[in-house]
Amino acid sequence: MGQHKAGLILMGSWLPSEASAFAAKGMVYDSFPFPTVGGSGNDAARVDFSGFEIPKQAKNAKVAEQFAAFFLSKKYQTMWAKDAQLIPVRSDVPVGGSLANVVKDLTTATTFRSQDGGILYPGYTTKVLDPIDDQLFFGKITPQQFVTQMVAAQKNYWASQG
Amino acid sequence: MSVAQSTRAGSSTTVKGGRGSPARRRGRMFIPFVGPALAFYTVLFIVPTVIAVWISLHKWAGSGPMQWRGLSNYVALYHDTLFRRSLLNTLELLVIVGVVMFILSFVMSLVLRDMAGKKIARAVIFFPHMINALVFGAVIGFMFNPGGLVNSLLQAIGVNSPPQWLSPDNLFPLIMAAMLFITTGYYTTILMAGVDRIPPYFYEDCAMAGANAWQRLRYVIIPLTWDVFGVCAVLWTISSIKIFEIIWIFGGSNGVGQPPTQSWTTAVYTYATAFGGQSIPAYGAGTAAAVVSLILVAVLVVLLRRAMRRDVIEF
Repeated sequence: MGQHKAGLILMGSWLPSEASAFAAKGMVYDSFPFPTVGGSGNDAARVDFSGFEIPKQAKNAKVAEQFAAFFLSKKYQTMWAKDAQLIPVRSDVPVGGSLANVVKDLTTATTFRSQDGGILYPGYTTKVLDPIDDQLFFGKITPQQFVTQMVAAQKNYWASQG
Repeated sequence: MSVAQSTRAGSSTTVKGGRGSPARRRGRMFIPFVGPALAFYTVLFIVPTVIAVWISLHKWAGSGPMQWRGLSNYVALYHDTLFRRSLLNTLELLVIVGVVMFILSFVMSLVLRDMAGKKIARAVIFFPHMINALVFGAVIGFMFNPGGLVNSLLQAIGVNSPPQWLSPDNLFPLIMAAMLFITTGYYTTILMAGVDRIPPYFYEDCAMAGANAWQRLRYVIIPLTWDVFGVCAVLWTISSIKIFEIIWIFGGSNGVGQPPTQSWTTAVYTYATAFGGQSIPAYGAGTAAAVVSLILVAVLVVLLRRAMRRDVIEF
């Protein structure tokens, strides 16, 4: 792609910064949301967050809050967007380049989801969803079989969780 | 065949008479000699094992409160088809790769015994064992990817729809082949040391008695290398149940960051359960799988030792 040999890739907004080291000069990136099936326009978008977490039991929670506020100040959020090519959380920071359209799509979206639907149950994604999802993706099972197998696998999963 | 037999290697070292009672002298030396090793062993192995068993009886995310679950983690393992699959894969590695590897190693050690330049040959076949498994992952990827070396060669001879070598279902046989390639040289080297130890006069004896090659193998080489075989079998059993990194290297580069479940072993299952990717870690369930693996190794090693037990032959 970066060598002007490909035109389209199903990927997140992190691609331009990751490919920058070996992409051809003058490569221009842009994006559009994945079309919804039978739906009208862009209503769902995927977002993953990176940020700060302060444990309840932390001894210096106040200082940690101050650090987070310092890091999220306009100056560093601008660098975050410009140099690291990541989406800032502040709306008063301008976003350019390939991220402009991503941010536009995010602001018009009405629902959001994160990686794996944000499911954090121990081992659910790796042991229940992924193996059956793989089979569906590789065309080994039909969507109906996928549903049946997922129902059975989830029953087992919840039974084993006690 | 004039082979002297004694029941146990240790029994011949007992000194009769001499200064004081050897048993009491030995008893006095027991604590200073064994003590430090035992202390290290207890701290580094026995205590962690006991803690692991304790953790396996809980539901625990690695930090925060532990929730008592009794034997539920083990019951869940028993009902988990994925764990059974992982266990089956582990046993396939142990038995199939083990048997083929030992036959190959033994044949190679016999062939190499009389070969010119056997030192170089031995170094060459040992070499794969010293290489990081990562290299094999990269090489196999280079060879078997859809436009890779193997498919290019196959295309040259007219095969236009080659198998999907690296698909999740074909990955495990490929891993077994790679394991065979990596370990054969290692065990050949150990077996060769055993075969080389046999004094040449036994072969001369054979020649004078008119024994053929099969008889020489049956009555000299196998009996005299049997204890080496036993050690190798135990080594292989232990190491095969711990096989982890090669599975990860062969399948970890797919989008999910974890190898496809079709190629999991119990070691991979343990890791994936304990440090479950993007989800909350399940240390209790992971440790339960590890404890099952430990019991499996212990049982197999005991059975193997029992099955391979022969009187040690001294020569």
